[in-house]
Amino acid sequence: MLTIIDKVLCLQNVDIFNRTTTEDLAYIGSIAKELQLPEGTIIFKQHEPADSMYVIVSGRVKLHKNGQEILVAGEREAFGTWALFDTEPYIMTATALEDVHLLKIEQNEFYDLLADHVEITQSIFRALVQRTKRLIGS
Amino acid sequence: MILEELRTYYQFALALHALETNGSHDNGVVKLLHRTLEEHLDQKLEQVFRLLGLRYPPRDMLVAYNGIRSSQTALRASAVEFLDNLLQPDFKRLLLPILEAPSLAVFAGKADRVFSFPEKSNSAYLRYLIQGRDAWLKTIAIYAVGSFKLAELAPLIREALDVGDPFMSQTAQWSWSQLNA
Repeated sequence: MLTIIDKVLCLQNVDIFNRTTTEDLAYIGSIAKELQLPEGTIIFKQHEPADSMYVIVSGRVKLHKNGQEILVAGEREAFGTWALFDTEPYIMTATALEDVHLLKIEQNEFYDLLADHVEITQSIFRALVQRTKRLIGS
Repeated sequence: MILEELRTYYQFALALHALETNGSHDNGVVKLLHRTLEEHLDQKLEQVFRLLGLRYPPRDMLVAYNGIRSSQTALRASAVEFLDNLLQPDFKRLLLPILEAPSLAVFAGKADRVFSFPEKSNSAYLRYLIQGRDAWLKTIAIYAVGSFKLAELAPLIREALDVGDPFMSQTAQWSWSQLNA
């Protein structure tokens, strides 16, 4: 079982949390559930309702769409991130390429946390603005 | 209260400087401690200005704070000059070196003359953080003790095993298991 510090060490690499203080990452870590899944497990399927994001503690996960590999995510990388903010279905399928150890953050628990910690919302807005500026090249 | 916040700022800055100079930057928990100390320095400075706003005109303090946070050198210099003229001597003595230092290394050199730690080792700085009042910094420092297996700090870890803060007690249990492995 991971300590809260181990969870923060994973979460600090997630793009949308890069403006969140480490103390607030600990609150996010407190709602992150650990999953240990064997190789070959389908973590979520394309077109399924999106309700959680995942961070890889160890192992690798393949993200694929209509039979085509899109990318392989490795240790301390996140996938399904937009499920925290959007109710649209997942646009890809995620499959464990080997035995994986994941952190899973569910959307409803995340919203409850944001209601109690407005500073986390502010930090995510700042990260999203930063990402948007990068995308438009300013 | 303001002087207490400023003293804490000095001690956090010295601990941060020690982390920067001891060459353990590739270690995850050291990086986390480093980032957290940087965040806390920003928060402490903001807190100092909020408290100064209770002693001096709040709008002036807000303008001065925005000035010292500005990326424009001229605005920062004006804010420092303004504070130099306004603040009472004991506040100035501790605040202005923070605002005027061009780097953490320069500031740490000055800070060390004001609040010198008796011993300049990783253990000494971690001991200071664990005995401090900031629960999150304590938790990270407790983790670092287990991570580096610093047996000399075991009594502090034992004390933290049963504290009410679940993050801290859980981390202390992990650290304790590392020390006894």
